[in-house]
Amino acid sequence: MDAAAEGRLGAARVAGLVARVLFVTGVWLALNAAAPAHVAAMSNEDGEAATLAAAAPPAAATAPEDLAPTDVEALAREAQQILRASCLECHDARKARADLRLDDREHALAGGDSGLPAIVPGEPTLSELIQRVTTQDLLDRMPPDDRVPLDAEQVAQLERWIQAGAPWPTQDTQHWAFRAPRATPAPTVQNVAWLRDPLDAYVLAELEAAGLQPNPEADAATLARRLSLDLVGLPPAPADVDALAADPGFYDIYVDRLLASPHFAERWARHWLDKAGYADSDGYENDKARPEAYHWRDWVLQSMQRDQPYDEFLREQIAGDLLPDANAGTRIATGFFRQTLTNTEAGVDKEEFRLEAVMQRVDLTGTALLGLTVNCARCHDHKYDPISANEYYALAAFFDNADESVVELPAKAEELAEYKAALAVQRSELGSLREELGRAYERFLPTRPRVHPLLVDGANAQGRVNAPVDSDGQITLVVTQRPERCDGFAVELFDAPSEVEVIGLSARVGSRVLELEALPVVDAGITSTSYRHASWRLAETLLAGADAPLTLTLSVRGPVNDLRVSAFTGAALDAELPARIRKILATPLDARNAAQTTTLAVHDAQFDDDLLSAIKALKHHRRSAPENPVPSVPVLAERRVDRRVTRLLERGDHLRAGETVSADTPAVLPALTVSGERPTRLDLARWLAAPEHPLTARVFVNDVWQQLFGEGLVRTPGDFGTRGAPPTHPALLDQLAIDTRDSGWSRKALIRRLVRSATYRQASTHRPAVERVDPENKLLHRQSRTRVDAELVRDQALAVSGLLSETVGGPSVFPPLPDGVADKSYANLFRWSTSEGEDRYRRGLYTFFKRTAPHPHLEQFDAPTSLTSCVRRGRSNTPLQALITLNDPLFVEAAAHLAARVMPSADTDDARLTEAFRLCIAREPTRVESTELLALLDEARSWYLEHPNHTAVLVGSDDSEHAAWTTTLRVLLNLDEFLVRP
Amino acid sequence: MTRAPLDRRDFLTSAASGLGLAALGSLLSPTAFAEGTRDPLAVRAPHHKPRAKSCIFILMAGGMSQMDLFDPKPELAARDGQQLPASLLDDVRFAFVQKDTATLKGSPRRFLRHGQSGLELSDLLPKLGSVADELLLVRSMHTDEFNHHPAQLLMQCGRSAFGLPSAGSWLLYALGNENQNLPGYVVLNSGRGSSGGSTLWKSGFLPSSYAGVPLRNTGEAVLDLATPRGVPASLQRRSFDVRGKLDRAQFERVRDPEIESRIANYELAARMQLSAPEALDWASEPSAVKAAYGVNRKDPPLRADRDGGPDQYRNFARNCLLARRLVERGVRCVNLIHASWDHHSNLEPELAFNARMADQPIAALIRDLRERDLLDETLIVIASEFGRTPLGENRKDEPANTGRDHHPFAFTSVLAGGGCKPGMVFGETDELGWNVVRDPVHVNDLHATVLHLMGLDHLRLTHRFDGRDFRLTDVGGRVMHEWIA
Repeated sequence: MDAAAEGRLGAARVAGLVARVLFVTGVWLALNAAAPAHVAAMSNEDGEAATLAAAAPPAAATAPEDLAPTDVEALAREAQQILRASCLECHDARKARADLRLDDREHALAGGDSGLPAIVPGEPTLSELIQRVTTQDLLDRMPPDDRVPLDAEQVAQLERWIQAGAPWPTQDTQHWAFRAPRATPAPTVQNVAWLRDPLDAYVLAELEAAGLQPNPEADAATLARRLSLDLVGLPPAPADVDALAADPGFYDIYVDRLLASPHFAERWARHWLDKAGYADSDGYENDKARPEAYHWRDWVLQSMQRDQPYDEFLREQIAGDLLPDANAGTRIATGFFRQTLTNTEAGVDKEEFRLEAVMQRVDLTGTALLGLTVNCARCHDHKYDPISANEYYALAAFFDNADESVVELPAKAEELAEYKAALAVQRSELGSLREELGRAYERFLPTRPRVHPLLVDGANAQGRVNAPVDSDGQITLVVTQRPERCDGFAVELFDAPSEVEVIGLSARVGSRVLELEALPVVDAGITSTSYRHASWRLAETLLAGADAPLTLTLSVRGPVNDLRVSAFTGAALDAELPARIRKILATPLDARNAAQTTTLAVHDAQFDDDLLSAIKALKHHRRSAPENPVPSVPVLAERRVDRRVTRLLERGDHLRAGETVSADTPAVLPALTVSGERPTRLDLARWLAAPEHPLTARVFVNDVWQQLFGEGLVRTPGDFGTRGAPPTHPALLDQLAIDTRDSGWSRKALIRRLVRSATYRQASTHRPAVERVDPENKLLHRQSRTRVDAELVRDQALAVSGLLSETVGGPSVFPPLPDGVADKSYANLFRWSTSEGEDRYRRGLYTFFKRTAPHPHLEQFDAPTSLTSCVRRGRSNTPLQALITLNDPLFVEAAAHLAARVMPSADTDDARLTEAFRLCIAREPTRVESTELLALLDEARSWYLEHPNHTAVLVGSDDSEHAAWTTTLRVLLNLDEFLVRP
Repeated sequence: MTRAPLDRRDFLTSAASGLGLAALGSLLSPTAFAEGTRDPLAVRAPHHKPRAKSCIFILMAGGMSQMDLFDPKPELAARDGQQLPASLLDDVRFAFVQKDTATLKGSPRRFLRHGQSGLELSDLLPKLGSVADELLLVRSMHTDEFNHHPAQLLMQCGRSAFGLPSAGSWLLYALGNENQNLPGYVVLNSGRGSSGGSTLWKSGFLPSSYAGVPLRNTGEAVLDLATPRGVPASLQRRSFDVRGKLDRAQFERVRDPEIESRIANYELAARMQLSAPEALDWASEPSAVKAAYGVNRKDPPLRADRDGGPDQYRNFARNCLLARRLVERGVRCVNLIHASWDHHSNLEPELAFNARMADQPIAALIRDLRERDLLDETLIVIASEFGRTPLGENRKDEPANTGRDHHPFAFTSVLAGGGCKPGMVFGETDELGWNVVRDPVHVNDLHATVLHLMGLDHLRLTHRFDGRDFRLTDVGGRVMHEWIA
């Protein structure tokens, strides 16, 4: 930069600062002025008055220290970023709203409809652009309406830029993430002694520029706990903490040991499972189990453990079936794309949901692999990033001919034999249940509902009669002939005017009045308005005999001309019968086969409880059929014949298929290399993993960074586009991406490098003065304290208590589930068969994940829903979480086992407590902590001594000492320090 | 954009100074507040003066049959058995109806006029009829989805996509909770489990503090609410205290504000342990109240091959009573979900069964809230994800015309209280109940109006996610000012 430019810049910075202070003051004034207006609006009857929701919040007043760019080019690029994010949606060449274009300098200087120049170089205050983004007049303010206004920092940047002459960048203005990463030499810093890795220089340079120093290195206990939780997801062994405290050189050895641990894969596979949306069930209404889904999880575990290079890892998951050396393993890798939801609701349009799954695969590719919100382009061209709807469907075309298929794995011989034996038993049991059903049906048959028109005086051949209504509104009918068995009566009125109502029926045999109960109107299909009917059940079945004649008295309102009375036997009136039932009924009883009997019984079960239970037993038995031991693992397989032609779907609607689209990648990214006659999924896989791809490596290193620092260098890991957060350390992100790519895409090498850095090893302690300058820790002035992931809440408690199973991999397990969870899913069809033995104590990673009824221990601690790809977990802090770790039986059980573990470990309470602290939070208690907890212990001790019943309930024995320790150590499992990765 | 962290103490101090609410209101900016704010459930000011403080949203999952309950169609009955004009069937999809042989199915129900408003309801809803003058019947609802799960997501979350917050989550996010001892968004299930399961009350991209908290019908209502067996209340309290002291010491060491938040949440958990059992103890209500809701009603016998779920009558009634107890105590949103109303066959007995189940408790709830002067500040919405066809269902090999298929084009929702015009019928369907012919209301419009009544502008209640601002009403939504009293 020449001296003149430097001078201009210096002036610009000063002016910018002044402008910003003024602006910030303006916000405060506006806020204060708005408060009364808001109060007024509150009392306004229609509640419609505008409020000041859009103003920048007061926190802007304490924005981070000025981090202005150091050269004009950077200033220009920053301005471009702001314009692109907030202005160009409307003011580009395409739309040019109000005839204003801000996409090139010439047009911007000219201005639009207002006639005022949008930008006056060197004069921010005369530039209409600045006026419009800062005005408090909501009619004039840009961006308009409910769009997010520019914050003070952005305005200041624009002002500095205009002050500097509003230069347009001379280099490529393409959004940073679409350009190849650029190598930048590590910047020079003052405090060279702090550096442990070149990456630290990028961090320290920014800190020093802001006048800040990094935090001191964390103590050994914190470092051990941090490393162990980050790398294997378990608390550190006390011996390792001691070794680290004794010898700082142990750090690197410890890192390597953790990276080699079989539990490393469990921790890091989970991050990948989040992205894929792994689950053990289909999702949607029926949400059926996917018992073989875990094979893909096992594949990820193995891949992580052997540190499969990330590019190869991607290629196998995207197109493992198409690789030249494809095998069962690489095919199973495509399970990455089989985590999509499946809708088996009856009556769904299968093609609709097939396409939905295809689109979910595109979205997954976008969010998890490209770090782009390509899903926005499903319905229309992306509003902010250069991805058109056409390009979206060009990506979909890669997946449109990838069919959902399975790989069958060999079953063990003895399992196969067992299966066949069990199948034989099942068959024979089925036979006897069928026979039982047959018997139930025979018992039921005599009472099968039947309707018999009654013969009454004056009736015609159909049993219909025109009987007079007397002055009391009653019709009296004398029955001349009735069936052998009568369970109730039905009355039908024909051609009845609308005012006619049936009021009641009484029946007597001779002088004996029969007890009747009115039935709700049940028979369907007869809905004409001139037809009325009603029925009554007899309290006691009336059998034929030498009784006096049956007399029925019907009470009605209104004139009746035509009616029929019937008797019925059995439970209720017969409904209209479907054809297949009529056919069976037409078959003589002894000529019916077993299937016909079953069909009829299923139909007739509505009339008889015994039948219903026999059928339920049969259905239940069918559901409990032995499981075929041949695993069928869900994978993708390329469709060879009858290939589909992909079409653009208007607004994502599968019923509005538009033009034909062929497979291709978005134009803004490097061109696709097609190896064969047409583009394939394998080409897509190779394209993504190619060294020149600008996003793949950045997204990868950002993700690893995020897992180790709490936030990524790009804090919107699923959105590297123009609306995402720009990297906090762009040069560092690029350098790490380049280094990782060039050194063979090793995940473990990247992790090793990051955790050995000085940046990682900082304490996470907050320094209030520094927090005010850098409240979101964007400068990485400290490490982050983060609540451990959902699975680790459980895993840690099990680990410190010694209950945790160390088994790695295998099918999902069913640890105890609180009542009332499984039955929230569809139709209460889901049964959770609680695991026995060590499977109750497996890591949370292996807990069966039912999408519509997840285990609450996972759900409450922000485990992803597996309904969409999750690239960043929430970290909520709720009272319901506190209730779980305090009161749930699992955590009480863990506390009891922890107590049993530490009680024999030493002779004094003090030493026992110290052991518990070391196990749980890797350090010794302070004097205050000991005093508090030992006081609690004493209190608990005397209480349990006096309450043996409570002792027995809590620890299952009469050991009051055990109960007292259990109660005390529950506190440790609930400490912030235990629940947080430090 | 950042926002100054705010905790309950700050809130109380600033509220006490008189400027608190206004200042808080201004904080509800389009990007709202960042995750990690210290007390996510602190009360926040609405955008404008609210009509309702709480919302009871009753989802009748499966699809209530509007022409058998809410929307009388004499012409449909007159044309019973006839075919539908072909023009109405073009471009229409059904789950099960076979178009070529389908015929119209009139309702056998009789509709009666009720109250001074003369509102017409089916004879299956006599008790609801007794509070007809409190109801706003919207007969012109329509939706975009015709399968259960997608349509339920649309009704609960504003769009048929996963990963979005439900309406209850949005309300809690925007307004906080009035009761600091109870969850702010409570879900009460009964029946057989809905198609959507827990996806219907998730907080989506909002922090999980805003997710619905399902209470259970068996055992303790809130998961792990009870102190572990064998631990006396005295030691539990002492454990809380010691834990809090140790956390405060840790805060002094590391100064991470999240620790303060954790301390506050454990305190809230302790208060919930004390006050939630009382709040949820419906059994302590006077017996006249319990009888009015029908909390001990047994399910009448119903012969149906479908498993309807256990104790539907008493669970639904208890949930209605609990809903009143919760809103009375300041809970922001109570979401009752009952399944299923999916009467593809055997509609008459099963609908009669469901209607009897729902009629008495809902009527009791409305009357009870009115008598307690709570109805004006409590918005009740009763809705299904879609309606049912005026056509009888004619699935192959099944008895024809004993049920109805899914119908997204026209259905009825019912509102009461919360500033809605009482005793009003809004919108109209054609003579067959097939399409809306006057004042159509999309689900997004319903949501926009719910937010409006709760004091929120659906266009300004947004959350930035995935690079764009999301709202409950997706890209639609119109406030139905015609409904507002």
